[in-house]
Amino acid sequence: MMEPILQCSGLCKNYSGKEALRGLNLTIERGHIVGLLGPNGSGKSTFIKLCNGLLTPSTGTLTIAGMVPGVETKKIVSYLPERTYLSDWMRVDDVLSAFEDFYADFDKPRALDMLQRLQIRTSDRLHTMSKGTREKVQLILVMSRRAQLYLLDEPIGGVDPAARDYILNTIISNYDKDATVILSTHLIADVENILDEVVFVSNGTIVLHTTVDEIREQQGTSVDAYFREVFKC
Amino acid sequence: MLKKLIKYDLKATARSFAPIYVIVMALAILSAIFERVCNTFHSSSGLNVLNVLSGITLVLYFLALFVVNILTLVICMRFFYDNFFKDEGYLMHTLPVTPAKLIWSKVIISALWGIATVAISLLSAFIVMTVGRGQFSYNWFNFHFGISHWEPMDVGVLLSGILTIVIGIIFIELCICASLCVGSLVPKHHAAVCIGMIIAFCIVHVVLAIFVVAFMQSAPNSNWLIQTFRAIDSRNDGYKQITICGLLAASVYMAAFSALYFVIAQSIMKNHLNLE
Repeated sequence: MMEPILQCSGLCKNYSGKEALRGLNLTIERGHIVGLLGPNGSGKSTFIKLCNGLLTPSTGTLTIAGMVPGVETKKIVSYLPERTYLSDWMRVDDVLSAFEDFYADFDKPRALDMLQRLQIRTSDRLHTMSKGTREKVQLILVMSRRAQLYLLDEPIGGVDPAARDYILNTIISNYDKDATVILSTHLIADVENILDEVVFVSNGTIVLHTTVDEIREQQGTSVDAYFREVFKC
Repeated sequence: MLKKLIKYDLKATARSFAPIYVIVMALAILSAIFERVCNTFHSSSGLNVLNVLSGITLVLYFLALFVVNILTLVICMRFFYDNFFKDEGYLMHTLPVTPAKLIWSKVIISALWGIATVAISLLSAFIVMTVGRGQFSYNWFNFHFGISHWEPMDVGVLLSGILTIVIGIIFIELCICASLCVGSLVPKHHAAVCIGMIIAFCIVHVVLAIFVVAFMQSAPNSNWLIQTFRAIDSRNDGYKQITICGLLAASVYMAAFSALYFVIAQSIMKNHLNLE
């Protein structure tokens, strides 16, 4: 049996005396789409950054496919941050070449196909594009990798509803069935139809980890409605 | 992977450096042309349009020369900071490469631009000083640098000088990189802490230099180092040998501190990266 794609135990992260994560214990198996759901400031982005090695845990352990975040895990993790990390001066061509150079699992024809469908020219510079188009380019790059784990931080946070549908379609139609997608968001109604599992995060702790079907069967409600009930102010 | 990183970084930085080098060279050539025209028409004395234009371009050239040297440092610092600790850091630190390769790539690129700036400064100064005055010839070189009667020791001085400049540039880049990494450890005021660290490192070097000078001045004549120094100095080309020894000692010193700065930067990036 293959090792879980993600495992953490007693994971804590403190920022200047403030606890962002408090002893997280979580195991995510392969082949699922998992929603990391929680209000703003609940620790979702912190957790995703820890998985990518952009932060170091204060205490506890975290492994991706049995490995501590490092060079080897970066080869199998495709990460979409909540901000634009591509340099403005670059053309789409340049970023495609950069991804092809650095990631062995980057599927350039797949990326070109998605860009063509969106009518984004590869000769265009990023600074000439709208914020939404830049975010789409970034998502296309991330989803064009044949990764084992996709970590998407607020992929639909700053875009209009029509673009949200495009982004979610891109996610579900481009990940390999053995791969796992973890996406963080607080816009639950938009994503719940594509999720297999949900992890509710609040104040740096996990308050619920279950399947979407279980919520629907046991609570008799949608994930969005249940989330509103759990996190009622 | 290092090669790929260097290729990517070179492309990213070239767009900042290329225009400023073009400006410096253009001003140097323009200044040389005006100087030449002034000399040709014997209008080097008195106030006329040619002389005024020649003076203005010369002043602009010196200003550009000053700015290009300052900008090289500023652009390199910004390049390190933006690539490691700003939004672009999210891409850099998720590439499947070790922190050591990330650091080396930036250091090599910054050092290349540092060397290019030194070369552009020397080349443009040469154009202004010789071409403009119609002195661009082997004889000019020979007169100023005595090339025709160079001895192996002179070549040694030149080579050790070049080595010291290259190691010096790497030393400065790694010092900046280590300072930025230390600055990233604090939750706020990264830039202030980084500048503070650069000043602190400079103070360490000044203090060490004072110790060395104080030691040389207060050491008794019987000390082996002083005796060796005097024995070399008393030879025919002793001052050249001492220059080489001094440059090599400075290179070793800077190489040792470069290694220390590299360890600091790598350790912070590997174990304490904090892209909050």
